[in-house]
Amino acid sequence: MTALKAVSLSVRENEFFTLLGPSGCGKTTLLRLIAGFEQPTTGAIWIGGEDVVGLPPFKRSVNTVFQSYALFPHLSVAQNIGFGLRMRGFERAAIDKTVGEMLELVQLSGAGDRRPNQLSGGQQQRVALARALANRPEVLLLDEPLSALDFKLRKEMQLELKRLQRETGVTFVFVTHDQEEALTMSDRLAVMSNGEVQQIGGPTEVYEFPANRFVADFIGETNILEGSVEAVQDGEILCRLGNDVQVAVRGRADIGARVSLAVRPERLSLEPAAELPGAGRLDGTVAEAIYLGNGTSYHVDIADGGRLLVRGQNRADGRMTFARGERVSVHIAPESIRLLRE
Amino acid sequence: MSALPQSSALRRMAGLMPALLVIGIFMLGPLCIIAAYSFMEASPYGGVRPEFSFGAYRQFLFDLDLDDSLIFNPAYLNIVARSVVLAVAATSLSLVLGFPAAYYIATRPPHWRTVLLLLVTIPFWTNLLIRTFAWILILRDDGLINSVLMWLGATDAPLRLLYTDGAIAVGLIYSYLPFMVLPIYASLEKIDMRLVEAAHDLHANRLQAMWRVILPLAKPGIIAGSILVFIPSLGAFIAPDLLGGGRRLMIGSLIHMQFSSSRNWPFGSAVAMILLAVVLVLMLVYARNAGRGRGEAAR
Amino acid sequence: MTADAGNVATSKAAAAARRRTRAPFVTGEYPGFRFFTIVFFFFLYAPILVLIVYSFNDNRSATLWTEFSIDWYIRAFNNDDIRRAALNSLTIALVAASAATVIATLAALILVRGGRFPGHSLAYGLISLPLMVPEIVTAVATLSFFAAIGLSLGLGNVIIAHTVFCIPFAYMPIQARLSDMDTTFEQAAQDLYANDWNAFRHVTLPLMMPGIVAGAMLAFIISIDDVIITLMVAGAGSTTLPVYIYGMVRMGVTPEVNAVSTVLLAISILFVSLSWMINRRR
Repeated sequence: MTALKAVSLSVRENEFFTLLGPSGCGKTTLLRLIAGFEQPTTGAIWIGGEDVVGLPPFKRSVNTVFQSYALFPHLSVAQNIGFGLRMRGFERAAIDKTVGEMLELVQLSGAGDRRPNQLSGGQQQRVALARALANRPEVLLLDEPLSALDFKLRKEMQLELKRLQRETGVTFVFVTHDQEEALTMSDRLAVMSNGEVQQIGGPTEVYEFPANRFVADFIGETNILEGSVEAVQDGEILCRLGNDVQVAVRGRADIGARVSLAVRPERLSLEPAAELPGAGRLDGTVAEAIYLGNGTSYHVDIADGGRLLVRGQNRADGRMTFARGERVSVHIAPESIRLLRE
Repeated sequence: MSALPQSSALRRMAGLMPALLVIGIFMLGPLCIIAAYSFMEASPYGGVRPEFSFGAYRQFLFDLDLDDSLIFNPAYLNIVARSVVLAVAATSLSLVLGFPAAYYIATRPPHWRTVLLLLVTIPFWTNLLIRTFAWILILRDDGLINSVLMWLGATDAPLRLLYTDGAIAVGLIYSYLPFMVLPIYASLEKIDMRLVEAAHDLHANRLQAMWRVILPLAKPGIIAGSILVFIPSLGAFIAPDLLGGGRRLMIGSLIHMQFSSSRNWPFGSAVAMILLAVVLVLMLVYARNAGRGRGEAAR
Repeated sequence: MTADAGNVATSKAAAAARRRTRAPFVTGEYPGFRFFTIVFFFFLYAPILVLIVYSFNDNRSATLWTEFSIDWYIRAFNNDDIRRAALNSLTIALVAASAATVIATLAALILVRGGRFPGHSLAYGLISLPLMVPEIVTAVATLSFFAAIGLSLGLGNVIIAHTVFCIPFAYMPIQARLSDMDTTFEQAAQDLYANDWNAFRHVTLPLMMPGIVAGAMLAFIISIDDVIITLMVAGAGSTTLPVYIYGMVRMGVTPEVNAVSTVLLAISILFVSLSWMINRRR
């Protein structure tokens, strides 16, 4: 079995880089390859200027924050943080000094003599970070480190991680399956699926211009529209959706080709049903209206068939703008439509 | 995937060699020796004469008449039958006593569970001889039970309690009861109590829930416990020797006798091989049962 | 349903009254089981208590309680044969348990952490073989074996026989501890620049130590309690305490046996409890 197919990516220095994908997509395998816990059958891994393939984990200048933290239960917090330096033969005084700095960095000064099991989940997380960072690694690998924390603590630790990365200047490679986490924290991210990288880019790029159907579907909510190309000009194509709606979209395709188009629910808007059909407008009926607090999610059955998801604002008095069963028109701004690579 | 990626065949050999050598030489070796002895002839001064013979196995079922014809002699078979009956009795009584206790312990809060479980295991780790000896103090003619009965005026003369089959059975149960409770506990503890709730929700009363849900789920533990009590009971030596007075023989005492007073090593070896064969077959059943239990748990 | 309002009210009141007197239903509770459990523990511990009580009885006949006394303990302690047997027991148990623990630790490291390899189950089967063979069979087989190869090392013979059956008992808790141990601890050590040896010395070994200590203790009490195998294998000079007790019991009970037995019992209980507490601390 191959966990990873041809994967080629480069992470820049001082970057917060995220590997994002569903479970089983190969992101953790990739991380373990970098750390040295698994050996690639072919290919090379360069860290700094060195190909590290074949080097055992303890000879690589990378450190890992494990998903379960893997804090040694028989050692104190300070001994945990100093473990790597001790293994590398540093002197006692130097180790103590670094441990002190690290405890301060993760705001746990004074907790050095405690045992890991006397700490809360969030504190254990900080110790795991401190233990890895104490070695001044060139790359810090984080394997879903926030998955064990509850929602509020997770939000806090996201900010904390960003701060640590900025302050230490260490390159972070972060693995997660949580797309929101990936978007908020990363400088750049790689979306992975089936052992392959689907897209690499900044959060805006990945969200706004998903490279293919998988990325569009995996990150955020998306409406996928099927259309056929009727005309091509100046890097734009003219697509026909349904019977009588035509939209112009940036991209390339052959005339007559079937294409998939993506549009985010929050880029669509609803209007009361119009008397006459018009350009960039689809008529339909509200099938479901789901109150979300900060808005409403409308499922609209389109007259030509198919269903669209529309994210609408609520009215100032808090009520939903449209009700179930109401006839509406869905307005699509052409510049919000993306042509998807299959 | 392994935690010791560099662990080579050499390292494996070095780590396993001491265990394999010690057990291979001093456990497998002796078993091979008695396997060989069981096919030899007895020397009149103890030990064996290295001549091939089925005599030991023949002796188990037949005596030789003066004219070398075979006469069926059920004496040894009777000993085997008595051992089986006593072992079955000990096993079933252990089950009756052990299941409710295992169930009760398994349904306590976790802290109590560990304490009660420790209380079950302590006698198991204490000296079998001494625990059996304690029963002599209780069962003998001037022992605790007879003293109490006579003091109450329930009987004038002491009842014969020691040196009976009943005494042996009590000794066997007492020796191996923890073997029954521990596996049953283990399988009961894994049962999701929501299943029992579901049974009650579907109109099963307590008895039906026990019979249709709890017992079937605890079956692997019950089978394991029964085998674990039956096997050592079958080959027991101390209980029949001390509580049976050495006259009411079981297989274990029969084997011991051939190597001590009777000095018939080939016959003793043959009986030992028969006992070993029975035990290994039962162990195989147990292992398959345990394997199936794990499979079901995984599914 | 056509019951009139009055009827409904009275039947509701009756139901409420019944509910008040009924014991609350608890899923999984079986009323008689508590009693069975009490009987169970009584059966388990009463004989041991009887033995302990008798050992402090002044009366020789050992049936009637006369007076509290530690006479039998003093007598047992001053009995040279008992002291020699006790010393033999201790020597045998210490040597056999230590050897078995080292052997079992090495084997567990390979069998639990060494991955699967051809012969894995065979090796595991061989290690648990002493548990499966009935003790009486092991006893006569070992006797025959030593006689056949002409090995007569006195205590040495007994120590060898004990080491064999102590190995699986030492192995079990060590294996349990090791398989419960997350391999990420070792990976974390390697990630933090520990080579194989350092990872073993600073992480694996300290973490598996409770299992090793528990295994050593169990091996020790298994050895110190053994009767049948020692009875067959031990020569005249290497009698152990249980074998000595066995002889005394067969010749007729003297209260001295009660005292020695109680001491042996106390040692076993102490060791099991200690080993349990050590293994529970994680």
